[in-house]
Order: sequence, then structure tokens, then C-alpha cells
Amino acid sequence: MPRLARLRRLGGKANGASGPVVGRISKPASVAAIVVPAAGFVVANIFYPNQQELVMMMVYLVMAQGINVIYGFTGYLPFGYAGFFGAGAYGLALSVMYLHVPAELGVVFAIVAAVVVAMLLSPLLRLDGVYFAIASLAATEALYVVISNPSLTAITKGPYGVNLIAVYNSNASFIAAVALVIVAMAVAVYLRSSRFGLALRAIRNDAVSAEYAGLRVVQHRAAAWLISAALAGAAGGIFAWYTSTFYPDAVFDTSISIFAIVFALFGGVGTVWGPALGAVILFGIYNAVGISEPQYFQLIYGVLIVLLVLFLPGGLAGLARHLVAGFNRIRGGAGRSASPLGPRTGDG
Amino acid sequence: MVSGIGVVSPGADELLSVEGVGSGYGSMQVLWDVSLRVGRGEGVLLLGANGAGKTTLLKAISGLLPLRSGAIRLDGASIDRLRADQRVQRGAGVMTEQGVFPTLSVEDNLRLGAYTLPRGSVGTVMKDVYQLFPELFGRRRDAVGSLSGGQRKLVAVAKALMCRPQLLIMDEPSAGLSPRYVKEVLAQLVEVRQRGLSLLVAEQNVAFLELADRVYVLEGGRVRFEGTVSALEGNQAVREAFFGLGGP
Repeated sequence: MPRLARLRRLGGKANGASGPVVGRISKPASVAAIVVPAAGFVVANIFYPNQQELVMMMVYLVMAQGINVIYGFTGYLPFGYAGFFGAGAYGLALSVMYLHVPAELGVVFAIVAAVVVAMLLSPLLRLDGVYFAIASLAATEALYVVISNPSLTAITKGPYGVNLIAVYNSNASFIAAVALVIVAMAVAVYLRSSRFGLALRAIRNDAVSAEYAGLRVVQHRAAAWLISAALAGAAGGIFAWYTSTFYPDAVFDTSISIFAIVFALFGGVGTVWGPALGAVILFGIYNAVGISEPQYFQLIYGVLIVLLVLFLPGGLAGLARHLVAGFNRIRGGAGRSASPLGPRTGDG
Repeated sequence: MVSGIGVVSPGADELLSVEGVGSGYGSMQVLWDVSLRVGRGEGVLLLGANGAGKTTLLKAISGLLPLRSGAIRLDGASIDRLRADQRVQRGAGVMTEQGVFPTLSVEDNLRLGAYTLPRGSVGTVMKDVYQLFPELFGRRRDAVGSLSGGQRKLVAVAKALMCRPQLLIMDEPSAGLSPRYVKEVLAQLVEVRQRGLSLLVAEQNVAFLELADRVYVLEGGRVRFEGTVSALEGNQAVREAFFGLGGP
């Protein structure tokens, strides 16, 4: 099957995220990456009637970028990523209910709540690969069980959920979501162009060599972990604000983690645009097919995941990189394409 | 003369001193009472079979492994309580067996080597290093993973030089190299030494004796032999035990 072999080569190494993402992102490309998605959502809000769908898409874009930070740049895959989302949702809800802060300030409490949870869980970073993934899942379950516990009803409202109808404001929370998209894209740009991001990629490549080179591995990983948690916390807070009533199982749902991970992988982690495109495309498909015909959506989704793992471990960004490299080669071996093994430069 | 690399400050002629060091992993002690010295501008070779404790000793010196006993001094100051990055900052650069980040470009690898330097000085040091390794300049935007094994090793050496070390610590620079590239790497190291840089090289390949003023032989985590290269060559027992070299 030569075609299959060719497709497989397209995907590059099995470990897609550590695939060749050489080079930096230029200044105009950075500005575009930060501005274009947010502008797109603002314009879409004028023409598209379903604002809730747009907000959810933005929430997932931010979650996918959060996965990008912790998985794409450090290699830790948190199956319990929804824990930060839930912590953020409750951080906003509790601060609004008991401290009577405005919802805008509640988002700050959401971020703080998620970061505190991330600090408590930072010992998990000592674990590797699948152990880390499972431990983070278990930690999120534990957090869910505590918050939804009926005996804490007086504080968290337990399993009965919270009601924030007093601060409900769909336009303000929509604007907050757009602002958060800008922040998430800026974080991705920063990681693709800064010394800090370069250090994270080096640590992901080879932590021991990085330490020998004088990089503070534990500190860098912890920083990425906290940034990733802060993004998810803010997303959870804005979700809580926008929906204004929710149950604990809605914000600690494992499918939130899975969605964020799949969106990020589909687009391509370690890049700026990959997770954003992954979230927009896949969440778009989900809305077009999934809500009316859930079983079809699950079929499409399942097939997509299998194809992704088999043929495109680098995601859409990996595919784009290969197409560009192929195009350059066809255009006539000019310049530096003379290294067939050479993973050439490409911006994310 | 290129500035920046191997600038030797005047003063005491002892750069690194390791005194009675014991270290290991978990319940397994690997090093027992190891003492070693590297003088300023000196080349010291650390020989020993697989499992003799060479890499463990280098880890202890560079701060990746805590000491259980003993002391380490660099440039007259105790460093055994310092973090790895602080030891790099004090001038102990390390090149490991793998030593490079394959998915990153040559230039990004070098930049990471200079991570402990103030940002303003990175450009100057990088220029120096490119002058020393001109063939890397031509490949600077390529991923290191696309380079040949020998070139990768050059990147590893260059990356270790980027922190402006006084002492360059190397773990098996010859590992995975064909004899031709061993020669090439050796030639680069000879040039590096001529700039006054001190070397501490863990090796199994006796070709590296060419670089050395003195030799230590590790066996079972203890120093079995210590002396000049000519003394080693006269030591029949060590020659037979470690290198299978018969006859004088």
C-alpha cells in the first residue's frame, strides 16, 4: 500500500508534538494570530444568531490553547484538565455569591482558584506520561466529589448547582470571552517566540540535557502548569458567567478535557494556530452534526481520532508543514531543500 | 585571538577540586570517596569501563545528583550546595552524551547553551562559537536532528561552550561516532584547549589521551589510578585491566 505508507510519512514521528517546529514566528504573523481569531468572533456575533455556540467555541479555543501550553510545550497530558475549568467556574460563582464582587472581578477569582488547585497538584509533575495523565484525572474526580458533596451544600450548593442569574449579562460575558481568546492566542505566540518557550521545548526534548545546560527544569514546568491552569480557570469562570446556572457535573465533566485535548491534537500542538483551528473546526462540526444527531457525531469523531493518530500525529499544522516542504521541493530544489531528511523551518 | 571563550582569570591554579565525594541513586551508592582535581588550563581524562561511575561523578559535579559525603570546589568556592544552573553560571559547562535538542534548530540549541548568560552578551558569544565551528553557521537554521552524527556532536560541543565556561565537562564525546569524526571532534577540542579552557572528559576511547595532561581511572565507583599520561602508559596492570593493551 504505497499510498498508506506515504500518508504515514506525512505524519512524521509518532510523537507529533515534539516534531520539527523549527524557527520563530514573525512580528506580523504574531499580530495576526492575536487579532484575527478575536475579530472573527466579534464579526460572527453580528451575523450568527447563536451566541452561546460562539461563546462555547471560544471557551474551547482557550482550553485547547491551555492544553497546548502544558502538553505541546512540556509533554504532560492532563486528562483531568477539566478540574481547572471547574475550579474556575466555582471560583467565579462563590466569589459572586458570597463576596458579591462584580462578575468581571469574579473572573480574577476564577483564575486564582484554578492556580491554587494547580499549585496543590504540582507534585503530580514528578510523574511521567500515562501516570501523570491518570493522576490528574483522579485529582479532578476528587475535586468534583468534594464540591458536589451534599454535606457542603451550604457553601458550594453541592449537587444542586449554582445560580448566578443576578450577574447574568450575555454581552459583557461575550466580550470577556473575546478578551480571553486574545490572551490565549498571545500566550501561544509568546511561547513560540520567547526564550521561555524555547526553554520549555528544550526541556520537552530532553530534560536532563536541559538541566545540564543550566535550565531550571522544575521551575519551568511548574510555570507552564500554572499558565495552563490559569487559562482553563478563566475559561471556566467565563463559562459560569455566561451560562449563569450550572451543575457541578457540567463543569468537571471528563469530556471537557477530552474535547480540549482532541481539538489541540487535531490542530497540532506546539504551534500557535493549531489548537485554535482545531477548536473552531471540530467544535463547528460538533454543532452542525452533534447536537441534532449525536450518534453521527460520535461516529465522525471516532473516525477522526483514529485517522489523526494513524496518519497525522502532528495535526493540521503538521500537514501544512509537510505540504509547504513538499511544495518547496517540487518548485525545483532551489536553495536549501537539498536535505531530504531536513525538517525545514515552518511557523505554527 | 577570539575573546569570550576560555578567558582565564589569574589566581589559584586549581580550578576544580573534588574531595572524598560519595553519591548514588536511591539505596544504591555508586561513588565512594572519590577525589579529583583539575588545574587551570589542564586537560583531565576520566577513564573507566561502563558502570564504573563516570557519568555519576559528572552528575554530582554539575549538580544533578546530591552528594552524600565530600565537597566540591570550583574556582576556590564551594559549589556543592549550588543548583545546577548556578554551577553553569560559575563556569562549569557540560556536554552530555546526547547533548543536543534534535527538534530545535542549531541556533536555538546554541541559544539554550547560553541560557545562564545575560541576554546582551549572547550575540557576541555566538559569533565566537560560529568562528570556531564555521560549518555550523551554514546550518544554523536547520533542525539538529537533520545533521549528521558528527555535526551533532559539534553542536553539542558548541552548545556547551556557549555558557563561557572555564571548565568544560564532557561525557563520552566519542560515543556513537565513527573514527573519522572522533578525529574531527578531537581536533576541535585541541583548539578549544589552546584558548586556556580546562577540560574534564569522561571517555572509554583512549584516543582522547591525546588531550590529557593527567588521567584518573575509575573502577567500581572508586579512583583506581591517578597520574600523568606517561605514568598510565607505564602502569601495566591498568593497561591490561581497562584497555586490553598488552606489552609496554
